[in-house]
This record gives sequence, C-alpha cells and structure tokens, in this order.
Amino acid sequence: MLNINKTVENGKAVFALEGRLDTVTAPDLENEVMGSIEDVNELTLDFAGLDYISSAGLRVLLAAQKKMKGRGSMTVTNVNGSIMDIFEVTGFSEILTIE
Amino acid sequence: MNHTEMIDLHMHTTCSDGTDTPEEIIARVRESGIGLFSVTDHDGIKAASIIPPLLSGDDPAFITGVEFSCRDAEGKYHVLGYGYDPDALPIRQIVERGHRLRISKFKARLELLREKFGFTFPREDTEELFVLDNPGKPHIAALMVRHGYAESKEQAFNDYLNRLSLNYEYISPEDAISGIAESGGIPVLAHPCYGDGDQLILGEDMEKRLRRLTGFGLKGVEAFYSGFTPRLCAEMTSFAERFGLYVTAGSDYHGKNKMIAPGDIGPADVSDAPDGLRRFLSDVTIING
Amino acid sequence: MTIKLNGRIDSNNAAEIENDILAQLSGQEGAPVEIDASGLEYISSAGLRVLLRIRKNHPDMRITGVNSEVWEILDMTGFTEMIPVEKAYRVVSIEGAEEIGRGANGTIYRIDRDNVVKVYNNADALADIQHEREVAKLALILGIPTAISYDVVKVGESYGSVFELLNARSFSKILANEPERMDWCVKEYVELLGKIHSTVVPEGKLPDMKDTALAWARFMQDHLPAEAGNKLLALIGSIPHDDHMIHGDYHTKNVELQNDEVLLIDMDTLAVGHPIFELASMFNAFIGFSEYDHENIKRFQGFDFETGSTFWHKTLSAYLGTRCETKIREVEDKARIIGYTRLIRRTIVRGETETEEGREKVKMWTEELLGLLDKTDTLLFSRNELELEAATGNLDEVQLFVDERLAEVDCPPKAQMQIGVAVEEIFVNIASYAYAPDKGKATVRVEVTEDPVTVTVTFVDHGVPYDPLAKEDPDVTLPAEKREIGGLGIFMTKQIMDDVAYEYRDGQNILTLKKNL
Repeated sequence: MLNINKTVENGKAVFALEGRLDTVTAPDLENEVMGSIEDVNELTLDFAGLDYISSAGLRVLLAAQKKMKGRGSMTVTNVNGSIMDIFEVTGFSEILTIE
Repeated sequence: MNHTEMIDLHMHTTCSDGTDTPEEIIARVRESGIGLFSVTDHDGIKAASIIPPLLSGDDPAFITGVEFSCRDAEGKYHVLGYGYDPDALPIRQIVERGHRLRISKFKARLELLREKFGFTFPREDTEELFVLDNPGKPHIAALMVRHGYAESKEQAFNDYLNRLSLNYEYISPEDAISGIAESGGIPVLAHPCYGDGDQLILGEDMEKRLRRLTGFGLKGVEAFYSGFTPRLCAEMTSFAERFGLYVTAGSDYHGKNKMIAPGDIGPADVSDAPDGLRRFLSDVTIING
Repeated sequence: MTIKLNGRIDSNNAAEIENDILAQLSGQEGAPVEIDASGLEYISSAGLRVLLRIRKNHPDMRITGVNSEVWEILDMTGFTEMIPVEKAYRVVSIEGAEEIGRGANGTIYRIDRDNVVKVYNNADALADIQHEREVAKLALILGIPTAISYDVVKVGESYGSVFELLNARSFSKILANEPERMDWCVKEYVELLGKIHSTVVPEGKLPDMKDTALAWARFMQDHLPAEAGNKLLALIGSIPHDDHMIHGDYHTKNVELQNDEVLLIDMDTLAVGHPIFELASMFNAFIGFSEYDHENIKRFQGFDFETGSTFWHKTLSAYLGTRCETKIREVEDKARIIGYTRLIRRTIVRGETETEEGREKVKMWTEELLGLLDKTDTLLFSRNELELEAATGNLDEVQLFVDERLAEVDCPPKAQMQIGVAVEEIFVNIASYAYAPDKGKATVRVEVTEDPVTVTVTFVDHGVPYDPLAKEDPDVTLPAEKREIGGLGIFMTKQIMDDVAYEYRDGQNILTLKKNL
C-alpha cells in the first residue's frame, strides 16, 4: 500500500509518501516520478509517512537520482530510523541527499 | 478345609422354630451332602445333648450350637455359640434366664391384649404355651384366630400384636458372649449385616458394633449366610480379617417354615476358604469329625 | 412372569409375601421373572432375603420400577451387582416443547424455564446416557464448561437426560436474531474451541476420531477410483495420533450462552484427535450439509446459508490466527476432504442414493473430493506455515502472514520492518527466478524460540537449485552512477538478519533467516 501526494510548482516537485515502498508499490512511484521529471529541477521525496522500503524501493530512488543528475537536485527528507539503517547498510546514505 | 466338604453351621430344629426334630435333621444333613453341621436353636441348647449320641461313624461331624437373641441400648443382635459344653453352668444359666424372660414377655403380651382390646383366652390354652421353650407372637396369633378375635394370623399381627408396646428385658450380648465363652464355646455374631434379621448394618455402623462386641469377647462373624449377596459376604470377611475374627458359614435352615435349603450358605464361594474359617474349624470342638 | 410388589416388605410380612410369590410362580421353575417394584415403598433385609431365595429358582430375574429408597438398599447390599435392577423413571412430556438442539444421538428440548431434556433416539439408551454423563463429567473436570445431567426420565418409549439450563440461548439463535453480534460470537466460539483443543484427555477415556475416519475412508474405497481411494486412506492414515479433545459436532446449536457464560452441550460425540477432524465436521455443519440445498441450514440452525458461510469463514480465520486468504483456503480444503468423505458415505449408507437428490449430492461431492485429493499432499496444517504460489502478486499475503506471526510474540516495529524487507527480497527472488518461465509453489515458515527470543523464517521451493548467498556482495561504496541494483536485496538481507543459511536438499532450496529480538 502506497499513497503518493504529489505537489508540483515552478519546477519544484514534492512527493509525500505514505505506506510501504516495496516490489508491489515501487512501480507506482516509478511511474509517477518518471512521468513528472521532465519539468522538475528540484525533486523532494518526503518520507515522513513511509514505514518501509525494500530493494525495489531503492531501485526507484537510484533511478530517480541518476535521472536528476545534471538536471537539478534530489533530496530525501524525514527519513525514520529503520529506513535510515537500510540506507546506511546499503551505502545509499552516501549516494542520496538526506535531510 | 476339605474343598469338597459342605458345611452348615446355622440350622434350627423343633427345639426352637424349625420343623425337623433333632433326629430328622441328621438325616436331612446327610442327604444334602453336608459334612459338618451345627444346630443353633433360638435360646435353647437341647439339641446339643440330643444329637451327639445319635451320630454314628459315617454321619456328618457336629458342633454344638445356639442362637441367642440379645439386645442392649445400642441395638439388637443374634449371638451364635459354638462348641460349648452343654453341661456347663454359665450357658445353662443364660438359657434359663432367657426362658424366664420370654415367658414373662409372653404373659405381658397376653395381659396387654386383655387390657387394650379385651381379649381373653381359656386357661388350658395359655398354660400349654407357657411350657414351650419359646412361646411368642405366632402362638398368640393362632389363638386369636381360633377364638375369633382375628380373621387371619396376618390380621392378628397387623391390627393387634404389632401395636402393643412392651417394656421388656432382654439378655445383653455381653452376657450371652460371656456365657458361651465360659462354657468352652466360641461366640459368633449371626448374619451381622442384618442385625436381628430385619435391619441393615453396614460400614461405619458395623465397625462400631464389632468394636463393642469384640470388647465383650466376641470371637467371630457369620460371613457366609444364605441371605447375603457377594458384596455383604465380602464386607464381613474383610471385617473379620481386620479384627482378627473367626469366620463361619450357615444357612438358617428352618425346615418347612422357610424356603431355605440345608447347606445354602449364600452365593459367595467358600471353596477358597478364608483364613478365619480355617482357624475356626481347627479351634472349635468338633464331635464325630 | 411379572410379580407386583406393593407397600412394605419387612419381617412382619416377609414370610407371607414369600409364600404368595411362590404360589404365583409354582410350576414355573427357572422361568424368567420380572419383579415390578413400582408400588414398593420400602424393603427390609427380610424382604431382601425373600428376593434372593426367589432368584435361586429363577436366575433370570430382574427388578424394575425401583424408587430411590429401595434402590439405595439394593445398591448398598450389593444386590444391584447380582441382579439387574432398573430404577423407576419420572415421566416427562415434550409435547409443545421447543427443540433447541439436535445431536447424533438425540434431540434436546426445553421443558421449562430452567430445564432441558435430551431425548435419545435409541429406545435402549440407558448405556448411552450413562456414557454421556461420564463424558460430560470428564470434560467438566478437565475444565470445559458444560452442563451435567441430574436426572434420567422416560419420554414416551425413550429415555431422556434432564439438564439444568436456565436463561440459555444457543449461538445459532443469536446469529439468527442478532446479526450485529456475529463478531462477538466468533470470538467466544473460537475461544471455547481453543480450550477444547488444548485439553489433553487421559488415555482410553474417549474414542479416537482417527479410527472412525479410517473406517469412512475404507468404505470410500469402494466408491472412488482406486488411486483416489488409496490416497484418501493414506492421507488420513498419516494423521498422527493426538490426545487432545475434540467435540465432534461443534456447531452453533451446541454452544449456549447462559447468563454470561459460554457452555458446550451435547457431549456424546466427544473424542480425541487432530483438530482437522473437528474442522471437517464444522465445515459440514455450516456448508457441506447445505451445499446442495441452501435451505437446509435454515431449517436446522435457524440462520441462512450466507450467514453460516460468513460465520464459518470468520471462525476459521480466527482459529488459524490469520487473515491470509491462501492459508484459510488451504486448511478449509483439507477439512473438506474429510468432510465430503463423511457426507458421501452417510448419504450412501442411509440409502439416500435411492433418490435423484441423493445421487446428485453424491456426484457433486465426489467430484469435489477427487479434485481436492488431486492437489493435496497432507491433511496436516500448521499455523506457522504458509504454502502458496511463488508470485510477486502474493507478496502481500506472505507479508501479512509473517506480520501476524511476529505480532503474536510482540516483535518490536523496527525488527518487524527489517524482517519484512528480508522476507520480501527472498520471496520476490523465488517468485522471479525459481520456476521461470513456469509457475511453482513456495513455503514460508515462521518459528519463534525463547531464550533468547529468536525468529526463524524459512523459505522452501523446489525450483532450479540456486544459492542466493553465493552471489558476490555489491560494492556499496560506489557512487550513484556506478551503482547497480543487482544483488542489493540479498546483501540487505544478510546485513539485516543475524544469520542466513542455505541448503539444497531432496530437490528443495531451503533458505533460513534468523533474527534475535
């Protein structure tokens, strides 16, 4: 289950996620992000409501990161402790901009 | 004990309320295949003197016997006495006392009938009853029918005789037991579970009773009895074991008066004789055996 | 020859009565005698001796209509061991009485505000009554709330047991009239069932349900194709012996709410056995018996087929402790195998195949049974194991199943999330690669051990042999452009879990993950 709340304004896109980012739900996020990315130079992923992320979720983050490179910035915000652990273990804490 | 030998230590003759004379009962016993018997007339020891001289070599063996009806404040008992010397004084005194008490009870009854209901009987009729060993209610009932005071013996009992209340003296079990013992006999409690014949005494009540009576010198219990169920027999055998008592076996044969066959000592199997019975047979005085 | 006794028998009239009886019996030595003691108030030992003497000539003697005082005397003296003695039974009428329950052996009616009577079908039921009484006592001693019969009565030509059951409503009544209470009913119903199933019964006290089921299976061998018949027999044969209690007819008419207490009634089917037998009879009660004619359950329980199905489904879910539909369906199918076996046999044995309806039912059930037999390897089920198709679409079911097991041991949220990640990685892996391009099954098992508290999740599949641990760890120090996702899942799993082990055995990939809580 994943709820995606998208707000786009003047090239700034905020995706507020609620629920789980797993094999089943990651494709939805992928579609949403990739679909909007053309007009965005500042991408924020707000993880305040996100309880869970698996490698499928990481895949989408990596893909988005690569896509934003050269186009603008991507930031991940409000990451909870468990998800932070995952980022650290997998080295994603170095790759992503986390606030 | 010889497994094939039948025994019957509780039988009645015409000396009390049986229908066989002491002579006839010897034949009866022999016909029934009984190898050892005793005659236990109510409150009388005449048979104990009559029978032994009549026994010949291949007659069954015999033990002198008696059945005293006793009572005290705690209850009613039938106490059997076995192997006593019929000439000994103590037992003769008990018999004599019993007889006197019975006659006075009999007279008291007649008196009450007269007082309460106005029944009188001609002297010759009553006097011939006074000399009986054990005149009792049946004799009076017969008299009442004969003189038209009642239509049947049953009615005589129900409407009149059973309604009389008598203050009556009995021989105490203590006295009966002593009398037997002091005459060389063994005192045994007859059909213990049935008390005086019409009661049911089991469990704790039986325990209390045996404790008292053994205190007076009771030495045995009649555990095998024609009217017992296997359970009752087992109960008495178990009490005998616990109190270290003798065990005896008897039918309560009365001849034609009751439908009990000689040698009928109940449905329990006595062929595997309990220790109490074995000891009794080795300790008691057996004649012609 | 019947001899009637009246009034009292004691030493005053014993001789006379004896003569009277002998007169009546004269010329009939050895003939059977019934002593009708219904008029007898009292018997003394003198009277007992009369009876004993009569029995000597008439060993086939019995005494009937005995009142409680006389019974006491006969019992105390050991008479009842020697001679068959029947007590006099109070006569009770069920005219106009409401039927409140029906079991295998009899029907239960409410005779007044406080009492119910179970009337036994079999007119020769005294032994059954005694048996049920003892079983109920046993259950009560073992802690199962039930009612005990306090009296035996005559109802027409049959016997009945009377129970005190004040203010009681069956769960069937509640479901029929107060549908809003269904969830409460499920909860109480499952709780009582759990109590029954966790009760160990001393050996030999109750019949073994497995024996009965085997008999059914043997019967079915004549009515199924050989392979199916043998498989059925083998499946039931492999159910291990179980000492735990099962009710045997656990439907909602047999569960009563008395004041605030939930009581189990109708104990004559009590047995020991594996719970699958219980679930089979429950399936039949709610669904099986009424599959052909949905009106059936309305007639029998008072509520309609849909209510019954919903209740059954919720019950099964609560009993198994899962909302995972795959799991529920799996266990239900096992129950159905035994359930249909019973239904088919019953229909045939009762001669119902003489009718069109009977034949159709048997045909319908047999088809179902064959289909089920085909896809079932065992009738055993575990609340800790889930078997389902390895497909990413089933991920949610797997996660739900694992989460439920973790919730049972109060797993902290962080550890739960981590375990969930590992479960996802492994399961998706199996779903994507183990059988591709074909499909196949995967089994997920969750076990918890104490001291220290450790959760072990085991995955089993029988696809291509593949050791996921053999893959090289990705380099997590690389920058984004150089990073690949491949192998990340397994890597995460290895980091998150405290222990990860793989083996290939008997054609199966077995991956075991452990986490200490």
